[in-house]
Amino acid sequence: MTLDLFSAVEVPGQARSESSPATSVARDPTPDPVVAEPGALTVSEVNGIVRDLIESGLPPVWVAGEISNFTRARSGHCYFSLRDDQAQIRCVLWRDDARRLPTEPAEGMEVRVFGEATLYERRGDFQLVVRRVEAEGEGLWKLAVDRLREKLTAEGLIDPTRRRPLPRFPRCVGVVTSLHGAAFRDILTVIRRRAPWTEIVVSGCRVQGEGAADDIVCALDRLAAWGGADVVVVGRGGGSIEDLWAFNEEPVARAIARFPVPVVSAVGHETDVTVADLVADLRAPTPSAAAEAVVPDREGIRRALAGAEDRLRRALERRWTGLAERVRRQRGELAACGARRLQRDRSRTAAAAGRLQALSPLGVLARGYAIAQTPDGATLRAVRDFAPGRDFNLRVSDGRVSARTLSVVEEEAE
Amino acid sequence: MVSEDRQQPGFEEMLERVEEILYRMEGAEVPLDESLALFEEGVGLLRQLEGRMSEAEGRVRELLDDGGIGDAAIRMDEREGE
Repeated sequence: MTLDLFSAVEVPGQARSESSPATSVARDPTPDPVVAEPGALTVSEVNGIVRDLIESGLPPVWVAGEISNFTRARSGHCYFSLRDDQAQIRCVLWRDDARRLPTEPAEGMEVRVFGEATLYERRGDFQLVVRRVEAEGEGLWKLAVDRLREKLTAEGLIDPTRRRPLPRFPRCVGVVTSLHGAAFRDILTVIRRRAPWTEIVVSGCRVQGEGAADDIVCALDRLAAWGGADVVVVGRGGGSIEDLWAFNEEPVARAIARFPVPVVSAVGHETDVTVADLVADLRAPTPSAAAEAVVPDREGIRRALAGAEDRLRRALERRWTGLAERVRRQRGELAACGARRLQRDRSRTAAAAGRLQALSPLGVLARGYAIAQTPDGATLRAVRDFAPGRDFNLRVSDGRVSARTLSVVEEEAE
Repeated sequence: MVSEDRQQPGFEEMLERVEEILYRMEGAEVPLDESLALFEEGVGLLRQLEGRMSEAEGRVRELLDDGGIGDAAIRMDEREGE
């Protein structure tokens, strides 16, 4: 629109006023709103002109300042002021752009905004239409995580005692990640190496970008509904904080917290910690580490089984040698018992034998006595048994002597 | 929809039983014939466990959107995410 503020503006059908443009004043009590007074611009026109001036004079720029009075209307549009120590500017962040904010900036937060200065013509407001908001050192991202962490902690979802132990020997491991990523490949490789018999079920999803959080939640819920996994690994490989952002979103954290079996989170690299990591039952620094955590090591099991078999055998042997010991001991006791008995018996026998021997005729004979016997063997004891001239035998200790009675003399009884 | 394998005694249960057996046999006085029975049971379990580990590789399957499950069409791209 070409401009000459000091010439009258001609509008079809409008009669020219006779007064000078600089001092023209509308005299008509009911002025046509669309039509300018001769020499006068309409408000709309002024605003339009100024808007153009502003937009052409200042291209979209980054502006640094302090956030003040940040509010989000029900419409989703956000309004705030950006200020420095001497001036302020009203800002608006439309809903679609506001959705990309990790969280609302805090009052007084130092930020940089990218936007276009303009005039909101309808109200004549000078403002900055902001497209992007950033805080120093990923400050907004950190603020978002802090806020969510506080909220979930208050609900008891980030409680270390909530964490469930992982099953030692899962039959089936569930994996929630992108089917196209390195994370899935790494997990498969490690599980195949350590515990090849393990079944793997993958519930695929996007792991970054718009809508990734919803994808991850769906994948988790699907896996929970299926119910066949004994343990689950959820995660992705490394990336920027924006790439990992889905794992900092509230719905994902809640889906992990409510999962019916233990969940291991494996997001990004060693130093990346997301909210998902905080609510999971175990945080692994990488997807490979997660795989190592969820399955046992075959070699380790083999060693343990061999060790167990050793222990079984030894325990059994101990029981049996224990018994053998007892048997031996008892036999020994029996033997000792027997020996003693024998000893006792022998002594008694010897004693008895001694006595017997003393009493036996042989013993008598040995002492010098002789036994007189008839040729038939009958013993001759008394004088009357002998007749003079009669033959008899004398038994002595080592033989027989034949003898003849010469005469007998009876002694008087005492 | 749960895997049928769930019905068999798991690794976990078998190992726990072995540990129980060891605990009994290494601990208090167990009657001789019971210790023999425990030994046999223990060795039997250990053999089963070893067998399980030598089994064929576990399947890799994909859980689909409709809740169905099928062989995983794994495309090992370098791309991260979609």
